[in-house]
Amino acid sequence: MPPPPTTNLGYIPPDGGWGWPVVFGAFMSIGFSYAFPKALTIYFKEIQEFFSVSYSEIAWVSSIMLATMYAGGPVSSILVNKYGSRPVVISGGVMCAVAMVAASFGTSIIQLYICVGIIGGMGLAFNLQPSLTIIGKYFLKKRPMANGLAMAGSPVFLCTLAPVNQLLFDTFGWRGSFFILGGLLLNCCVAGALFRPIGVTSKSAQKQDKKPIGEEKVNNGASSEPSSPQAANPFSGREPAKPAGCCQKVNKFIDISLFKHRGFLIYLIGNVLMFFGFFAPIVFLAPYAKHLGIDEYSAAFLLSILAIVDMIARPGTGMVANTRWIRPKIQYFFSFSVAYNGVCHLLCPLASGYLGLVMYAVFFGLAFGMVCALLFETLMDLVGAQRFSSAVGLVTIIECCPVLLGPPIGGALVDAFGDYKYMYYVCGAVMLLAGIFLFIMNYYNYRLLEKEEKEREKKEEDEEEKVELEIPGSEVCCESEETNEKPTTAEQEA
Amino acid sequence: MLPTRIPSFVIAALLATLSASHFTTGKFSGNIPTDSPIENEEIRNNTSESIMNTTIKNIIIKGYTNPWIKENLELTHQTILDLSCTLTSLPDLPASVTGYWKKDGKEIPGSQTVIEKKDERFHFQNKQFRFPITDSSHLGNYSCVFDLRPEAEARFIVTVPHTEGREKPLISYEGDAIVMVCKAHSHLPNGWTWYRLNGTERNIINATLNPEKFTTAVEKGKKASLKIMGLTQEDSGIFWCSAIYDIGSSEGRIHLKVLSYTVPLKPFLAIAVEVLILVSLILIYEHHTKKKQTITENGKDSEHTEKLTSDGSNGLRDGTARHRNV
Repeated sequence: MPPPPTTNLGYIPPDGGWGWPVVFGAFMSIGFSYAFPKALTIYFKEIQEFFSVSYSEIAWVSSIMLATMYAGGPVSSILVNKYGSRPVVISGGVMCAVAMVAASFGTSIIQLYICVGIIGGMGLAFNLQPSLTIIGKYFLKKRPMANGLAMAGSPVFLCTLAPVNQLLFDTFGWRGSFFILGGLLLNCCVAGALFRPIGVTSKSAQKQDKKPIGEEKVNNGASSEPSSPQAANPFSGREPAKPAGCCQKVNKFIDISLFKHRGFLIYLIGNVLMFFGFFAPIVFLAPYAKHLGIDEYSAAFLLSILAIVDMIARPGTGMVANTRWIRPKIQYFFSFSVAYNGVCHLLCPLASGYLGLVMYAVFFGLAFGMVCALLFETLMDLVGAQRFSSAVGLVTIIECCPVLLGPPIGGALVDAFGDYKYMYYVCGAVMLLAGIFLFIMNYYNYRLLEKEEKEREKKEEDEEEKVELEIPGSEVCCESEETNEKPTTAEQEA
Repeated sequence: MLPTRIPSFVIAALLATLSASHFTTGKFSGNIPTDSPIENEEIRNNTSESIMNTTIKNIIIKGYTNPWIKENLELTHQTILDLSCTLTSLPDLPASVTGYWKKDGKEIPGSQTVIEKKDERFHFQNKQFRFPITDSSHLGNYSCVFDLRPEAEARFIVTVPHTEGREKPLISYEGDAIVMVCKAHSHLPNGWTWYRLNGTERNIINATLNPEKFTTAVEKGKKASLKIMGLTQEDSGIFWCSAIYDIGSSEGRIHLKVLSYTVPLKPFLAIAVEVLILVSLILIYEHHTKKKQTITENGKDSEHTEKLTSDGSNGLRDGTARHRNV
């Protein structure tokens, strides 16, 4: 039985209380981050006519925004590591607002690329990473549930932003809408205000030192995150061995020693593979439906069905992942949901007619929601909440590539074969492969973790016996060691 | 007497291939006689030398339908319409029936013909009676009517291809520029004009006279765009784009609204104020609870230290006790 997910935060997360407003704030932040680039597409037709550019040129705005959001991960992580979540999110909100307001005065498409794409994308990156990080700081036992609820922000915001954008566009035109959207993005600052800093302050650190050493030992054993090579020996102290030279400097900002972390590498490789086939099916669902002869509105309705199922699936998956049967083996649950996604896509070409596609949309919505809800929970589970902020930054910048390349490659496949089904087969196969890879590697990882845990427990027992033999009669208390010593030595003499 | 069934009908359209039009207008300047069978013959004779397309269209009327069958004919060039109607599937058909043509609801004089029943159907086509379409007065609704009790009718709606403007209003701001686009429906017009209506007067927008304000462009003939720079409140209103064909023109409508910058500013300020209020409330609440916490913590601190010392003494006692036993 692998060790239960532990925290090396140095304090016990509240798992409630102020945590729930934090979840709500994360819900908003994540919602804006993921839904905003997609919801902007409503303005593209008019902006395209206004600037007299082709559709692909205007679509770059969304792509640049998404790319910057992912690539800005490490920058965000560094800032969160240094300053905490709250200031980063608030500055992200302000950045986004300034970007949109500036864009509303734009006179060329390049200005839009810079304002909306780069500055806006950076602002969204400053919203996304800290929200994910702070959930790990506030929740432990109920963390999957909290993650599921927060990630549900994405479909909810997409469903609401789309009609709101249409309304704004009909009333104010694209310039006025950008201006007002800038105002709406200021609400990210509200989310940031909710992110009350929590953690080991200097005061509580002092209190901790007063606690008996036994407790510290347990904390130590837990804090040496199982596959971390650094804190292997509890008696070498709580501080991990410092890597020498330039790596030490970089490590101060962002924890690149994560690349030696077995679980992190497994997660990274599996996810990079998965993301190649993740977004293309959604992008091409409506065109595929139209290709099969379904009218435009029904095709758009398929996406709405997907979003609604997704909305319910995410907190639902969080709840399921929180149960005591699944939580310890949450990596298996994640690999299962990735593989299930793959199976859905492989079966999609069998769907004929509108009803078949509706069923596919329902199953796909469920699969999509499951994967998204667990996406960051599993990373937290592997690396622990302390290193999570660096981990998520590194993961997003590396995932940037498959996320952006996926849909164009899918499009190329569609163009090459003239049929959508080959794209679905390829995406399904890629995701199934990723799911199986994650399953096998995590099985191997869990086994190794168990072994390491047993070894560590054995070592601890040996060390305890050693200590007892050396200083007979002394109890566990380190602080009271001094007070104990006198009477025992007195006893011995007696 | 109308049968209760409302059958679905199939319109069989026999379209003659519209080859590239080599039509010379020369022969048609000046007097174009009104529609009448005798005069149509004259026209036919006159134009037999010129290469003018004939458009052949047929509607099959299967029983009484409600509403009457309509067919849309979009024409771009001058042509001669060869229209016919076939009446079938009616019970108790007499041996012969009279039919006539109507244009825009009014009977065309002299178009009455007697049609014999052949193979249980009446085919109303008069080779001597064909409709020339040479200008916009010839466009409209042409109906063939079978004089029965009640009448059976089929209608050909002859128009130029419609032009798509914009249904929803176009919104822009003072000092900004705007591009309006009109699309012609599937055929290439000869030219485009843009104008505004002042009452019933047409103010044509001339881009060459006013190049700083207006720019027009045509893309592949099918899309026409008008770019207006330096918008002011006066530019608010309805713009018309007109696609010109040989036989007429069709209009598209675009409604432009020019707003001032203060219009979106108000919602923006409202949202910004709301954000400020919420953020302040949250921070004040946090400050308040932190104060409470530190007060209670200080109280707890002193209790805590007392507890620890007492624990220590407990442990001490147990330890000594054990060793004594050993």
